[in-house]
Amino acid sequence: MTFVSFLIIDDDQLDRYLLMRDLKRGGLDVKVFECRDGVEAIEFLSNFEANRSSQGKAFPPRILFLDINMPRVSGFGFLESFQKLRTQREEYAQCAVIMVSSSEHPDERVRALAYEGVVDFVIKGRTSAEELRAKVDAVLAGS
Amino acid sequence: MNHSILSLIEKTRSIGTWSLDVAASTCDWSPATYRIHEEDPSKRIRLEDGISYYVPEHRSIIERCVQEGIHERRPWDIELQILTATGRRRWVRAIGEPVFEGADLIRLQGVFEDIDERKSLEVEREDMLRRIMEGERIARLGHWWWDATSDAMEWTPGTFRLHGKSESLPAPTLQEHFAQVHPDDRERLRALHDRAVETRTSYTAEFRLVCGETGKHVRSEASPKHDAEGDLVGFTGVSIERTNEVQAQLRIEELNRRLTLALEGARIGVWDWNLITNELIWDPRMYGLYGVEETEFSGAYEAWERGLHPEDRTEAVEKIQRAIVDRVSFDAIFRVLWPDGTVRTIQGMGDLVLDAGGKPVRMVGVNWDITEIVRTRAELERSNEELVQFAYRTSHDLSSPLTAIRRLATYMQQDLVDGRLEEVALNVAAIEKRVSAMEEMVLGILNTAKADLTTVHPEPIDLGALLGDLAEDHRALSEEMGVDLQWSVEVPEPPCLTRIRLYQILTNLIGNGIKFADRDRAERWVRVTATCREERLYLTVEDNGTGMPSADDGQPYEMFARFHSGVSGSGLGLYIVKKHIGALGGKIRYETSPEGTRFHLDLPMKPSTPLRADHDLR
Repeated sequence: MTFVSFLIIDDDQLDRYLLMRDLKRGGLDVKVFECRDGVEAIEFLSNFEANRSSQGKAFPPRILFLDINMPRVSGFGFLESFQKLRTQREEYAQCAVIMVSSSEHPDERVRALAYEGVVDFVIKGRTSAEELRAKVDAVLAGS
Repeated sequence: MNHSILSLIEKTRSIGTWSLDVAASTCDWSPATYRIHEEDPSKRIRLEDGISYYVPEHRSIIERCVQEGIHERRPWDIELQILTATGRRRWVRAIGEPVFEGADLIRLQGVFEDIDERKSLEVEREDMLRRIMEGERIARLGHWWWDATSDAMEWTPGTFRLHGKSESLPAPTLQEHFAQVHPDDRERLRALHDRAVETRTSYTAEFRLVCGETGKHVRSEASPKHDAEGDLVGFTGVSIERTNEVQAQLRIEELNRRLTLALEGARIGVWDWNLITNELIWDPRMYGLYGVEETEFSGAYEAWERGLHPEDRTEAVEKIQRAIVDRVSFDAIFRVLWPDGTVRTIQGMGDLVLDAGGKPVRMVGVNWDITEIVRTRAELERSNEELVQFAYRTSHDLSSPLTAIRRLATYMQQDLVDGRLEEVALNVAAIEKRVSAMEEMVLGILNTAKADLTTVHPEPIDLGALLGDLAEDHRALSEEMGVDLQWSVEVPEPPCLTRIRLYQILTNLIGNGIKFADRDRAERWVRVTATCREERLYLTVEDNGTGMPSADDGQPYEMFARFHSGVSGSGLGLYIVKKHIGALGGKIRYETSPEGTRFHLDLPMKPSTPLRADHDLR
């Protein structure tokens, strides 16, 4: 069974839970990390060495699911910081980001996909577990 | 002797003689008769020739006279018209009589008199009189004469008609005439007449006549007449009916009154620009619209240009000039800049007045202030946009959790089948939490709508009592969070505000302060202070909680803005606060740090206008 690790960054606990269930349902061996906003996520990723030693191959996560509307630091705020991290650690260059938003505003999709590493954009509650699996497979096939 | 006298008479009076030999039917004309007929004196004249000189319409008359003279021995003396040999019409007096010898008629003889000059004058006079009568009828006027000695009057047909009386009746005396004047005008007219008689001067009088169903308005002009010795003999006068004109004048005055009322009510100013002299006339309301006194306005077109807002001047001037060139109406919206710096928005309209040759000579128009309309329109547009946003975000924020709950239910069914009951129990709790959040949001929406839809009046508010109520309302939450709610009020008299708005402002700010308390602190508090200075009420709501994002971009006041994960809330709190602050005519700002947040509210102690229904948000 293919092993994949994910990082879900979303302030809504229920949304994080449902995404995790969707991912686990897809017949993959998964490890899911969770962060409640952009600040927590940057702190988590910045702590590379410690996470690497405690999480092993699960760190860094292969795919990041990133919400846009979050308190403190939004999804776009996170992307700005993450771009710097990617230049500092080549391991992060392998991380793909899939945006997960409640917003259907086309401007947000265009803006998000312009960031390096952002590979897809899904609307919350509109994507089935099967579709999600297909998106994950597409990322894995590209690597 | 007789012949000589006749010749002399013929020379002096244009009189000719004639005789007719009845048996021979031949005429004998004197030279003057030939001259009257402008006929060749050598021409022999027979009876039928003599008759043929008469104009066709008179020929049968003279024929009858001749026949009656012959057969009935009847003389005649009539005035008829002939057509002379040269083709000119001429009036003649034709006199004829039969001459007998014994019982036998031997001839007819008579006289022709050229009366053309007199007759023409008579005809001309009759024509003139007819024209005068016709003129009287058309112009609804009549002439009259009053004899000072007898008090009798003479009236022309026009005067009879004007008084609604038959011409067959005798004209009245002056006193009888006065009796027909409207009682309200009678004494004034009598006094005017008596004074004119006394001073022997002309007078003009306007009065009403009682005649017909509605009466008549009349103007009379009278002039005194004197005899050779200078004694007054009477007055001649002309009376003219002015009913239509007076009624039209009354209608115009009534319309003017209504127009003035409408203009004043709508605060519309009227202007009149003479394009030839460049003179601009403003009515009194125009000065108010431009914020100037009448004495400060030069009356030149340039004075109007100077009153325009610099940013709108070019366009407004171009529009008015183009209207003149293209001969179209002027219609523009522009701002004016008052000398005191006030800016108002004006709607201006104008129409050209052309001379007989079609050349524009004036432009007449109106101005009115649409500042409030423009402001209201912008407010409405903003309000509409807000409503659209509200509908979108409400439906979105309500549908998102519903979708999540539905999806969760799917997994719960699966977990039940798989026997993962602990997972199910956790998810039931998650659903309950999510539903509570939705309830809170719906309540928030209801509160917003409630304050907007309810007609409420400002009222004196006991701030201490209000804060006591708020503390009681938040008691359970503050105990749970371990937050101490403190307040101090240093306001000498109660502010006069809309209670529901102030309550919702404070309940949201206090509620936030409690909810976002920093659990890492040993002492947690929310403090409210109220002070008053120069008719302003200053409120602060301060906490030592976790802080919030800065207010730089206004985002915290937006609908459904949420910035604390893990804390319940509708996302409407600060939106409601901001909305109420605006409605009360106040201001709000805050400062925040990880040490806490402090809101500063600046509100009027009472409404700026007299107490009224608080309907500004409806």
